[in-house]
Order: sequence, then structure tokens, then C-alpha cells
Amino acid sequence: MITVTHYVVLSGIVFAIGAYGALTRRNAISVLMSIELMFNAANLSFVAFSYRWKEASFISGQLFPLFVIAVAASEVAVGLALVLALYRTRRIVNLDEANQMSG
Amino acid sequence: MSAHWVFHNLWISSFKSLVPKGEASSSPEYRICFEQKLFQFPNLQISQSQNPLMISPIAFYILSAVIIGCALLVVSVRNIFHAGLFLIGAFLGVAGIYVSLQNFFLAAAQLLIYSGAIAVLILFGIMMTEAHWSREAPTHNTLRSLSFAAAAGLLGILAFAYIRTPVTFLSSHRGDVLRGIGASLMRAYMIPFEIISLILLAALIGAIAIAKEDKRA
Repeated sequence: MITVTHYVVLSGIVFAIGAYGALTRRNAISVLMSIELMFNAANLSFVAFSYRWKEASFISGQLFPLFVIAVAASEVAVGLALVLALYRTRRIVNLDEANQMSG
Repeated sequence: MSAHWVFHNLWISSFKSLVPKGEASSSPEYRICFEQKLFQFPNLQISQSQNPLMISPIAFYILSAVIIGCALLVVSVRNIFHAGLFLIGAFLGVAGIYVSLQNFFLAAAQLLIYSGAIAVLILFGIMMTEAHWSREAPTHNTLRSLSFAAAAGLLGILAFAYIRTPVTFLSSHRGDVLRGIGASLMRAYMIPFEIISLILLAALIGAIAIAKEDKRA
């Protein structure tokens, strides 16, 4: 019998994997991809928890991931614009080397 | 005062069409979940709803294997383009999970927006910045073991919190989710709806302004 706990544990696992990737990867776009994994895990958790109570919070849980998807889309656009600007001026893609504020 | 009353009634009316008639907070599930002691061993007290959502275990385990496998490959492969493709696999798995939770609109939106636009944008970004990819360069920085411990600790805390709460079965969904989303977006969630359009506009202008080439000689 698949319960809410199964979905939410899956969301936690994917969130932890995304957190590990965001902290560890050198390439800036890899970090963006790991952050997208974390967003997906949070959305999963929203939709799963909306089935837990017989209350009016049901539609909130189903609707909020839509807003999260829209915000994540805009965040990826701006993040990639930043990576492209960094690459254009300094030919750097790895976050270890992007450690100077000016120059 | 009257504006508050109007919004309050809009909020309540957008939910009333979804809650089945005759249901109160004295339902057995509600009472059981609140009257139990909070810290118990898992699976000792199971509260059931009247008609739980019957999800096929095979579908759930296959989809979760796809998601977890693709996620692990995203954070570990050397070729970053392959990592982007595995990210698309993870998005497809999550869309399947939404379908299993009877939220078909969100599954379609996930496919269109995440795997159709965000992943393609990421792949374009990868292709435009890949001049320095080499086979010997390290893909992970020096914080590898520490961040693995941190992520494992986070997962342990989350799993502990999730498994220790009383297990409830998924109750069947109330009515059409898509109709509820449409009604809520036009009534109770009108303000976030308009603000999202502003956020998208700001992100659009910001991304263009940041990535624009400076043509001044």
C-alpha cells in the first residue's frame, strides 16, 4: 500500500542528492541542474502532503508547485545569463576559479 | 473592512466546491491523527481514510527508481551534457509521479516547462560554454566527503521526521483538480497569479540585460 510517507521519503532522497550536487560540483551549470532537482523534490513533497488532510489545503498543495515551476524557470534563465556573461568576460566555467569580485 | 470581507468570502467560496458535503473535522482520520501521541514507532498506528487512493506499487517503485537513478547520475557523470540528459530523465519521472497522484495538469506543465523549456535552456547553456571541458579535470571540488556527510545527515533527519509521523493512506482526491486550480487562480490566488507574471517579466528583462553583448568599442 503506497502511502504519503513513500512519496515524501522519495522527495527527501532526491532533495539530498540535489543538495550534494549543488555543494560539490565544479561547473556552474551542474550546480544549476542540482538546484532544479531540489525544486522538483519540493514540488513532489507539496503534492504528496496535500493528500494528507481532509481540509481546504488540498488545492493549495496542488497549485503551489505551479508557482514554483514558474519561479524556477525564471531563476534558470537569469542564472544561465550570469554564467554566459562570466564565460564571455573571463572564459571561466568552474566556480572554484570565479573567486574575484573585480578585475 | 468590506474589502477584507470580500476577500474572505472569495477565499472560502473557492474551496467550498471541492470539499464533499457532510464532511466535518470530526472524521475518523482527523480524530485519530490528532488524538494519538505524536512520537510512536512507525506502522503501529495506521489511520485510514474512507476511500484511499489506490496507487499501483509497481508504478511507484519503477518511477522512483527512474528518478533516483537519473538524479544520482546527474550529480556524478563527467560529461556535463550527459548530466543534462539525465536531468530530463528525472523530470520525466517526476511527471509520472504527478500522474500517479492524479494531478494531470501539473504533469503536463512539468513536461512542457521543465523538460521542454528549462532542460533545453540548460543544454543550450552547456553547449555555449563548453570550450574548456577536458577528460582529466576534476568534476567535484574539495568538499566532496563533507557535503556527502551533510546531505546524508539531512536525509536522515528528513526520513526520521517523515517515518515517525502517523502513517496515513492517501485519501481519494476531491473532485477535479484542474477545475479547482482554475477556480483558485481566479479567486483566492489571484494576487500570486498576477505577481508570477511580473516575476517572469522581470526575469526576462534581467536575463536579456545580463547576457547582452556590450557592443561599444
